[in-house]
Amino acid sequence: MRIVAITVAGLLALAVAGASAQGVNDAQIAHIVVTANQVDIDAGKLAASKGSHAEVKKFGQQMVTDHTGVNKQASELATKLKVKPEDNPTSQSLKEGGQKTMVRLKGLSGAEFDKAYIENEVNYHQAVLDAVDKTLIPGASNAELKALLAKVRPAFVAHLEHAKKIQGSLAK
Amino acid sequence: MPRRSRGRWPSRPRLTAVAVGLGALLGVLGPGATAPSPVTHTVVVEATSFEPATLTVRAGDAVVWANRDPFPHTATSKAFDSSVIPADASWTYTTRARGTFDYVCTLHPTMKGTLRVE
Repeated sequence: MRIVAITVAGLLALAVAGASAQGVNDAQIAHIVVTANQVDIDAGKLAASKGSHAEVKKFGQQMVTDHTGVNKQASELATKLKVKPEDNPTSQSLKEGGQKTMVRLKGLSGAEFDKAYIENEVNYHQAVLDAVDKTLIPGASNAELKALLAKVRPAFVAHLEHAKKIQGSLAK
Repeated sequence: MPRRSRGRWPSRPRLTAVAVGLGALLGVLGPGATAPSPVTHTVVVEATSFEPATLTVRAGDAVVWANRDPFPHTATSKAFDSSVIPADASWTYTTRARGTFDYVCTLHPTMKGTLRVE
């Protein structure tokens, strides 16, 4: 399952590196933010229902709640700024990577599922943080969009730390 | 007649001023001087952090944790536990025991704060 997680993180890294080279506009950044959150919401929903360890289920539910909250705020800002989120290759890669992860996770159960989901969460949040720091925040031209990204960044760090903590306890 | 009464008694505004002055004096010298009335402090919970991270209050003061993030947080210590504070909601704790209480958000382990009750 290590391969699955690395694949998703790798896809995101490649997609964002490509986006960085081409440059992304605010409409595309808004779309990437919403897509990245949605991918984690979908995985979280699956973990909340299919997870075996109580901490894994709880973490999955929290990812649904937190990333839904971030998406609501991002969508409200896009509406306020009259920015229509624009689909782009990075969003498409994220979506495809997310779908592949879902298919593989659905094929697992019990402790195997828990391990694979949490490993994916660790890698995914690390990859999202890299994208936020290297591409999305530097690329955002609107000050409010940039501020929103900076404001939600610490939540992704907290999720990463939380996922690592659960990963450590699952390994025991 | 109006002239006489003015001479004998202070006019109404002056009486008011005396009353206000006395009240202020009592306020300064009265029980308030040794035990100030409880104050309400606010910790803003935003960008997945507590601001201020360290807050010092007097026992009896109230502390409001105001969540301005779009997702839930908690303020949890050995002495108090907010349980889940939803997005855009707040939780108030009236301090009692004196001491230094380190607290965390149980949902986001990177969030740490300290409440000092004197």
